[in-house]
Amino acid sequence: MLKYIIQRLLAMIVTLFMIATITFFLMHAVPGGPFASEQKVPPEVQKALEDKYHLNDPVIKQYFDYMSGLIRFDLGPSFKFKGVTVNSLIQRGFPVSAKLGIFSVLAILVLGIPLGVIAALKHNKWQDTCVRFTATIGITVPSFVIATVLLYIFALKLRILPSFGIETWKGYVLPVAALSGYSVSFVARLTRSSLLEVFRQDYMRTARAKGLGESKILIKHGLKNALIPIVTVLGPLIAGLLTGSFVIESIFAIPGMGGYFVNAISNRDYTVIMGITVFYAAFLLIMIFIVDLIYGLLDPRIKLGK
Amino acid sequence: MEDNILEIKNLSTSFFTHLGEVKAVRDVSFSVEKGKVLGIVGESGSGKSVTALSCMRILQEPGRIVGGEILFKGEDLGKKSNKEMRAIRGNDISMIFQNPMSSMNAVLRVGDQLTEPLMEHTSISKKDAMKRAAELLSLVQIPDAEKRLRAYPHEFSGGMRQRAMIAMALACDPELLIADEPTTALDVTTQSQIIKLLSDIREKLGMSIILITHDLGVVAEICDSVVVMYGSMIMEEAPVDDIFHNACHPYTLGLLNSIPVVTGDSKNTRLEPIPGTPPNLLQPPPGCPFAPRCAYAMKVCTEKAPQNTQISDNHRSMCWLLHEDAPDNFLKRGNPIVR
Repeated sequence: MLKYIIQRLLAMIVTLFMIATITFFLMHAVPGGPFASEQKVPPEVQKALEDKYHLNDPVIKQYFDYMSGLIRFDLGPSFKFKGVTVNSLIQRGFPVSAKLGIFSVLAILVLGIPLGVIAALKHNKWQDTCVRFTATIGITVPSFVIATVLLYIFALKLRILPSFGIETWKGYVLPVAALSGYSVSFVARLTRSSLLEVFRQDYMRTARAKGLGESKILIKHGLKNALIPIVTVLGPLIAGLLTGSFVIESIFAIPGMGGYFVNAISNRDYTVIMGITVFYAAFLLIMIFIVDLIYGLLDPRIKLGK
Repeated sequence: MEDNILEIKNLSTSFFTHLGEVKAVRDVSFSVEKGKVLGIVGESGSGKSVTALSCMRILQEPGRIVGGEILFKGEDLGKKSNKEMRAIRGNDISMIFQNPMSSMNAVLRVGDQLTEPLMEHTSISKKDAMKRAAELLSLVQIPDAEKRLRAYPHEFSGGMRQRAMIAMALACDPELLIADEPTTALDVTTQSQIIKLLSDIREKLGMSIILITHDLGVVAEICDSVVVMYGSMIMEEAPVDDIFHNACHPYTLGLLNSIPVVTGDSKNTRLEPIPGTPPNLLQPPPGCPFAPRCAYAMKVCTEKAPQNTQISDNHRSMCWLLHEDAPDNFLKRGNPIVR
């Protein structure tokens, strides 16, 4: 087991290294740079700026400089925010995004999975139809539309929730609803179909033939089997939710990572792009790793490290 | 009456699908004597398993019992509440299934699954239940039982899994064990071991068994009496000897003829299958379900369902040929198919 974990960690480092390399060269292949704005800057000033940030060095040298920083977890200074390092930018933005994300993950656990269970238990009854209908809307309607509609109803018409900011708990309600709408719906549908599949299995009939109660059959025999595909999607879904959504963060004026990331791309803020990409990739890899570990716990047929 | 542990009277079960009502079991009656083994034979889709599932009342939607009585020790199971039924399942009546590979839950330890009926129906402690589970595994001849309890089903072979399933079914000393094709998914050697095990256990514990199978060899080995089903109805019911030596229904005879016989003679070893396919149970034929495939079918066979003819006390057959007005009465003439 320990050997397996070490192997996986090494593989993750290799993957991260490749992601960083590809992103670095793709980014530099795009024309323009952080200081090439519409505003005409005197050539001497631009040159001085570029020299300061070593942008006139050959790309290969810049690459090795960056990578040697990365190894020391130094993501470099931001080109656009004077005197701010990328590390501090992530330290500032990530907790905000993550807090929003954690609430969304909770929404998946307390809403998505139970709704899917109810729909499966009441297969083809009105409860099932309701869940399926709402979940289909949640999956197909983009989050910014959901956000706008929610804002219109709850902030503008009913005036019970604020339209921006996360100073109080009330501020979280709308962004979390808009952010988690898709994931909750997706997980509800997946739970439903996964459970319906499990209900048809022979071992469920065996459990019934033993005289077990329906709730025991559902929880002990049904859910543990049905959870396997759900856990698969939960990993990347959680990584995506925790690292922030640009759309939701800009609609609700939340200073999270998503906003920094998108702005960095339009600004060609090289170090910020690199830093957030590597951070997001590392996070995703860790989540996938955790999913694999949970697999091993759920299904004894999956032997890790063999 | 007291001799019969289970009496099924005019049981009908249907599946209400989008296409219409599929009549999977039609007007089936039979009884199981205490301590005896009843075999139910018939080809796939003849309603054997649905009859068994109806007895346990564990039919899956959209299946429903539409008529008849299931008398277990004189009490109609059809009238029991779900809660009362749960107390019977796995306790008084238990069941083992066709596919031991998928009938055990792959994510739970064998021991956990074995102790489940004990924990459900008795007030035994977990520790004692485990001890009892180990005994059960030894009873079904799985060596090293205590260690095996900690294993997962995928670490068992097919035969071992079916043994474990049997152990599970025996956990609460049931009075009736329903075995739904327990050997179909196993290889031949394992098959005979499992059948031997079942008959040993029957002798040791004295319970009654309903054995569903399409293997007449298995029937010959352990059954006391046999019910032959076709197209969701009972064609013939008789003691095991009568089925093999005095079969009266053309379908039973057809089944007997499709048993491969191993002889030294290289000639004459071709199987004689019954031509045709089973009836569509969405629109079952109005007459005898077997009539379209029956070599002896008469006009009346396709028009009216045949009545039961009592051949002896415990031998009955449902065929127009046995009617006293039939031109060529089987009974007078003897079996037309000579083996």
